[in-house]
Amino acid sequence: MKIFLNHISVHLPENKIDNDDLARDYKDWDSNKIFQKTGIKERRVSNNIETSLTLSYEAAKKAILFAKENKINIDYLVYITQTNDFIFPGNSTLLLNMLGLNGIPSIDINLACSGYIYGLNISYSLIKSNQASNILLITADTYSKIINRYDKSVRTLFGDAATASIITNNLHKNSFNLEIIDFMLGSNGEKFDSLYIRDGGFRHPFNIDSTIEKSDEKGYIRSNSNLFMDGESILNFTIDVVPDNINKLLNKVSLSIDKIKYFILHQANKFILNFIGRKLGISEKVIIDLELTGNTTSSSIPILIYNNFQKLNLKSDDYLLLSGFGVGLSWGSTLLKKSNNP
Amino acid sequence: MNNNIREIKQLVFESLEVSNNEYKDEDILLKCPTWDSIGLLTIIANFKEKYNVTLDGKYINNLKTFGQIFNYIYNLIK
Repeated sequence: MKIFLNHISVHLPENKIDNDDLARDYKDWDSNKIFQKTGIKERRVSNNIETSLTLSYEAAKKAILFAKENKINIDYLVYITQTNDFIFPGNSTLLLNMLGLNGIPSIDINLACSGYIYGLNISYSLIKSNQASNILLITADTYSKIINRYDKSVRTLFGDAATASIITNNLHKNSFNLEIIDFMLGSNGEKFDSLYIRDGGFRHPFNIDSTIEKSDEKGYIRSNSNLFMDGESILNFTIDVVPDNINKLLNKVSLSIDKIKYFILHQANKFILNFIGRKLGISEKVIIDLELTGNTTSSSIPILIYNNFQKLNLKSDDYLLLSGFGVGLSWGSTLLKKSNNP
Repeated sequence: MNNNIREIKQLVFESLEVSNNEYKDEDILLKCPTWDSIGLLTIIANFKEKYNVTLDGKYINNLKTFGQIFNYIYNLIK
């Protein structure tokens, strides 16, 4: 049985934060420097009434329209987010209800930047094992709601977004028709606190001290209920693990690196993408597209495919390699192959 | 040793986008306007790329002078 990524829809909030906005808050950084170092000009941020759920609903409505036009009956929902509307339940059942899909199975997965790869893996496995035929895969996050305004280590990078993908066991007209070939996944909890929120779970419940803001040794300000990222630790993790993970996947499928037409990596920031490109000798094949969205966690890979699919000009049997990495820490890569339209 | 230290200094300064002559070993890191999180990330990535050595960002963040950085990296590489 062959399994395909057929469709991606995207929804971004309308509000933006550009580098001039940030430079007003961070007097020692100018907007050009922020762009030069991160590759990001602006990030979309949700307003007070937008949540991961509302963003994902807008993306999912477009995907459902595609499904109806192609007579695809969605029979499973996989929802990737770390910014659920409630502590529980997760957003998956709430979205099912909004879409009028109550009754079909749905699961929530707590992952971020590796989340799209894991979501494809779960979808692939469900279809392969005959548990589903047509899966709606959601990614959505609103990191802007958990980032301190004066923590420039993360506010310069992250943006909010949602996407909705359709994965099926058939080719469809006017579809991406990207066959999912194989995966290589990994995770390691040793440095879980390199990228996390300390308070608000059940080890450190939200309390009166959770919102007290403190300055760290670099002068970045945050509270225990804000996102914390140890950038140096995450960088070391990424540059050690990601090139190795990509090579392991290529070995597993017995493909040489030159057979891959494009590498679509999680859009963490330009700095990391350039490093991975140089380390693997694939710089010209690494697509960078985060200038207008920033790092949108689990949505960055599907947004890139959605924005660039026509430009990629894929021919039958061309390979794409996708790779995500981040919170957990967790990572994964998958290989896709273009199939002709039916 | 001198060659190694010279190369380490050069790569640190290149990473921070300042010239070799601008700072001395005893100079305080915080006086360098490009000494920030992005500067440190660049140093870590460049030393990984050139020497395949993993620098501990938390440790470096506690150092005060350029000389302390050069010695820390030298001891990892030698």
